[in-house]
Amino acid sequence: MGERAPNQVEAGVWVVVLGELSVFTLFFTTFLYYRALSIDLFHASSATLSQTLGLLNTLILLGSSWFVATAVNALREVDRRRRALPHLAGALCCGAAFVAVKVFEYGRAFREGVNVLTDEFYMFYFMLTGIHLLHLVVGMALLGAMALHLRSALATDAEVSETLVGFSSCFWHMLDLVWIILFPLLYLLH
Amino acid sequence: MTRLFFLTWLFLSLASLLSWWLDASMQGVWVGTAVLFVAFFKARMVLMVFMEVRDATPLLRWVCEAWLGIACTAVIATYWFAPFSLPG
Repeated sequence: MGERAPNQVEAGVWVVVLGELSVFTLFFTTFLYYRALSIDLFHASSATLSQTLGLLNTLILLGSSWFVATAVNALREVDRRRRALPHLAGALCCGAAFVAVKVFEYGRAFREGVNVLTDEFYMFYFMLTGIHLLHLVVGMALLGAMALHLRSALATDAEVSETLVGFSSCFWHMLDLVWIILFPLLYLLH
Repeated sequence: MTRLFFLTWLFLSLASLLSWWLDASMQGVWVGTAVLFVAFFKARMVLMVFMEVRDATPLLRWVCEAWLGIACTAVIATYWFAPFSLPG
């Protein structure tokens, strides 16, 4: 496969994505620095999280990324465009499942009397997962907009906006990428 | 292409299960380091395959590889050398 030269919009998308990834990298290193200052507290609090739910959310987001990648691939071929819609629906379902698992986790933590002020670990836990969750909701809105746009484009046989598809898919994969690193940091490091 | 996406998804899922199993069955700084390396390797696969950076211009590929290298080094170095977390 040959190289694809990015247009201005695509370049802008990458500036946003790499900017976000750099900010999250700062969050990751800050978390690890504070973890080192109170390592026993971070170990004890991290052990109260459900690793199984963290793993489940990782697998859900990986599944959603596969759905988005196959949808974008289908959109490139005119005769297969129609196949993109169910894949986008699959990605949206995965996103909704991720939100549901996260809300369940938050609810369980609140019922146990744990909140953002409980200790430093939980402050980071709620901040990092909360920011990620907010981004995920934005990502779902973008995927929803992409699905609606595709549906109307299919109905009228119009061109599909490459900008919307490029930005939405890149943004969604970025969320997967951030969670791939957040999962071991919050749930696995002991 | 669809096959490549499927194989990537399968690999990423198995690598996630491996990290989870490693952490559940073993302890220590080296296990943590291995889990972080696996995470960044998975991140690279998402960038290269799902985000299609492997087909992008050399500049974008270089920038993405540089970010991965810097982020991986910063995270693992902080894990090892931040106060009171020295191995051993």
